[in-house]
Amino acid sequence: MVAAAELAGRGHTCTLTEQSILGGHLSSVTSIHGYPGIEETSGHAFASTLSRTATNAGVEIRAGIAVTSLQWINAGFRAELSDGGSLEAACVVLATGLRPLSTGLAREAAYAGRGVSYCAECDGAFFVDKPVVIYGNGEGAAEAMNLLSQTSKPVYHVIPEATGLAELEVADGGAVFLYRGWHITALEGESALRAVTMVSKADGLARTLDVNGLFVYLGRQPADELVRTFLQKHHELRVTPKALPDLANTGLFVAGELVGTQSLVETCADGVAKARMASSHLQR
Amino acid sequence: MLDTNLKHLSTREQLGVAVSGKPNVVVCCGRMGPMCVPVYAAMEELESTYSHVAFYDMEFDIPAADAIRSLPECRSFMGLPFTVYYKDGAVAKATSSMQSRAQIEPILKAEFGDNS
Repeated sequence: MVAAAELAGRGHTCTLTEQSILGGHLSSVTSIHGYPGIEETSGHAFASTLSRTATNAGVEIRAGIAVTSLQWINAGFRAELSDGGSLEAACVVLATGLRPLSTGLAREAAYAGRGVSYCAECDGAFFVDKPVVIYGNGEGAAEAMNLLSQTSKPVYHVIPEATGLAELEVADGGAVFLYRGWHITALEGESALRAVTMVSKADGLARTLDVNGLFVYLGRQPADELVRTFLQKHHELRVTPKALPDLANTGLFVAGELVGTQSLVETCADGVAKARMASSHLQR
Repeated sequence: MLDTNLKHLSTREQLGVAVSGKPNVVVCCGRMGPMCVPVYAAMEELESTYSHVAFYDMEFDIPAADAIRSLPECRSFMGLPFTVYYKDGAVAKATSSMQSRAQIEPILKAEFGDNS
């Protein structure tokens, strides 16, 4: 949205497509601190302001529409859209950001709201005195463990990346059973989650945990399918996913978290920078 | 009151009037957390496309929300928000936890039809 607003503000005709909600992950951030000039705001409010700014600058926003493929044509690019339409443009700024990693297990979506959760703070109260498993690592998982260990019993923490044998931790007021180097392979239950099966990476040992809740904290990964497909289709460009700035010569600019920005300030600044590069490209 | 651009419901009476006053009503009952906000945002975006549907939000923790929380359709729910779709005053569908725009739209079409 930042790049789109900047381009439209510079007088270029600009269409913004967003397959999900405007602002993406930012919209669900509860509180934003440390953005220059803003004491505190919610991600939703910040994204709404960006959306209004883009609209006021003249950006045509097509929410709920995904770009399904991107092709380099003589005068620029052709984007096929999920509604069956298409767009042609001299420049493209790709800012598809990051998406949360799911377990990839068949019944994960079916159990969402019926045992599977991605937010301990939101849904922990539904699992008081019930057994739960936290799946993943990092700050979010640690916060979830601290929170759930106070209310749910027992709490299992399954970390897929690390290796080693199972350990036992005892937290204040409850038990946390930590499994390093295990990965969850199946979810079980009828109308709601009742158990998960996990397998040890070290020795292939399988174990079933009877749980009512699964809290998934597997992190996020770049939503870069579009650019990867584009690079495969146009291998003559000889650009690897690690050298995305090289694409600028074609008029394709990759921005934001896709190129590794680490904060909202960096992401917005990169959006402006890529829009300015795109504007220069358009004026050649 | 939730910090959204949706119409807010804060009493049982308001909920009753909203549900009985229009044939197609969606009420999203949640908090301002990361699972709920995307649903409100999706509903805000869908309001203009589905003008024959009335979209509301309601705080999960207020007493009036018991009217949503205690619905038989929501009894097994274990994730915020609770989103309830009313057709002609009756519950037609209810979902738990975060729903994307891509998940909400088919429900709107199935329960309320296209805006034609």
